[in-house]
Amino acid sequence: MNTYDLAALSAFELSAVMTADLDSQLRRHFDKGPRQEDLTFAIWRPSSSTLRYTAVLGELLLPSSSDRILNGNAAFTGDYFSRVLAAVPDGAGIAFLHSHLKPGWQGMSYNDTVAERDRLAAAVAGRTGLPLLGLTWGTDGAWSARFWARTAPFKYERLDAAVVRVAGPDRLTLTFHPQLRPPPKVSAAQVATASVWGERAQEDLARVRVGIVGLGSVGSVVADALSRMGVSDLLFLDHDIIEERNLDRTLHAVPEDARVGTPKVAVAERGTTTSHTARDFRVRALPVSLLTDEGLAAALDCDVIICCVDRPWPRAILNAMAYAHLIPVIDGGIMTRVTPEGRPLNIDWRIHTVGPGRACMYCLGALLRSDVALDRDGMLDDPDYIRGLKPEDRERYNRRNVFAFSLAVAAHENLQLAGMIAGSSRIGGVGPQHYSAYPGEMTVSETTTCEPDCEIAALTATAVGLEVRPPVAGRAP
Amino acid sequence: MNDTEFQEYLRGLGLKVESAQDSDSTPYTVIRNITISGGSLAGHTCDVAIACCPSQPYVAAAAVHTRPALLPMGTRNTQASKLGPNWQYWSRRLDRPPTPQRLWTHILTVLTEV
Repeated sequence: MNTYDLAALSAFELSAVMTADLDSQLRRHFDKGPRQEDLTFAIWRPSSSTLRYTAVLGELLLPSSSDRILNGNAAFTGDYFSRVLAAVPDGAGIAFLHSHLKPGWQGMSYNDTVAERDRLAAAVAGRTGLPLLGLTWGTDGAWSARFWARTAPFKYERLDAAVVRVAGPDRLTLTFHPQLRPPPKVSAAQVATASVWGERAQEDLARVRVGIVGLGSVGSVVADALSRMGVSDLLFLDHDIIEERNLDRTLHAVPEDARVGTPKVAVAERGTTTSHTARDFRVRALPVSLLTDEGLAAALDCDVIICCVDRPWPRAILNAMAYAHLIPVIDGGIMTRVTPEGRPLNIDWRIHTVGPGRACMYCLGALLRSDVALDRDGMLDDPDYIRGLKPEDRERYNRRNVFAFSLAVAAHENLQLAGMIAGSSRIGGVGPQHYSAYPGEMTVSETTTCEPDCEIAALTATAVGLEVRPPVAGRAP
Repeated sequence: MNDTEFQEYLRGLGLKVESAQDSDSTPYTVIRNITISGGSLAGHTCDVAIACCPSQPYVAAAAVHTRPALLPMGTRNTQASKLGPNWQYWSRRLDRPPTPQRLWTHILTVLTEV
């Protein structure tokens, strides 16, 4: 079976995603006034996960003036399309993008259908092994997308995407298919929440799929808060179980959970199933590590991920995923230092969002590459290795925490999510946040970008496969 | 960057590059007969091994391994290596974006800063 066959594609929810930079380039290209449409081709790469098949749009193959005919409508020439077929690299697909003169999710005219189904779909599938992706731009900036699936030799059928995402430094813009993902009505339980950022933002928040990786002290609170805010589509990922030492800081966990070893995701599922305010609430609770094929594939299903793990290796994977697959990751961390006598010395925490147009965890100084290597290679579980470290290095791996610290981090992670979806920096702030408990001050940086030679920024929109090796023998994945 | 690019870079410098595996079957890139140019070990010749990266994207191992052991075992953040009794593990961090040139420079720096 080929990727472009109906049986293969129809098994997935379909989506497309691009960076805000690409969206801006397209906006400039399409802006021809109120009576003129335009078109272009682009390259995309597949990002396949458990539930979803996503086209990650990459570089544009813009037309020259002789490559298309503009007479109100727009038509491409055969020479232009031939040039596109020759230019597409191995493993990549071809997208055909054009503008309409109306706002919102766009339907297709007869001419649109003929162009995509009859002129392009078969040639693109034959050349690339991937389905043709069609996208239409509305005057309000909304994107609509569809894939063309082969149903029989030379016959192609349109499969609409459920959502198109534009990931930028200030906002994750979502255009949902009005029938496949219709907006839920704001419920009576959400009136106060929706009154802060408006019904439109609430509708997007309700439909965005949020993954929470790590359901411990921070993640359990994030999950509960999201469910109360009206987020209705949640993924929980954590392989760990509740132990007695977790009871001081895991929301909804009770002594019985420690006694029987309830998975942390099950505790969060139990809590959110009773606390959510959405009419149609879905939670997928997977008791597996991100560092497994199943965990990675599930994370790639998400529109946004909130990283609530403190281990460097899974954080590095999420850091790469944010750029390669254009899934913004909201990350936070708590650091507590005590004196040799055991008194508080420094307590701080930081919250930041990483993804296209923003500095990655490495460039923010929130994650060290060498810590990632040590965690990956099992050294952070070797007590002899930890004992041999310099004190300042050893301090980075301490697990001191208090529930109230986690509440604060979780609150700001949720606010950064709400601000990103609502497109308002007045909710989540303008950039990375750093709180120092003494004297009690939150400092905020303007959104920064990666260093010029950062290997993570170089992954942007590549949809490169993320690989994790099997866990070290004797160590949980 | 990946391990193949690193090995090609080293060969391009005229170095002899081989492969090895440790007791956990982790693969390594081994660079033969490096003569240390500075520091207290200047003039010594050794082989250096770097663990290959099993993941994507590339993350450089936080250690280099030398054969023979050049320091008393346990001093200066060294310990026994899983590569075998002739080898020595040096815990040394690289926290810059990895490139073949940067990783090679890191190895030379580790050997000469003793």
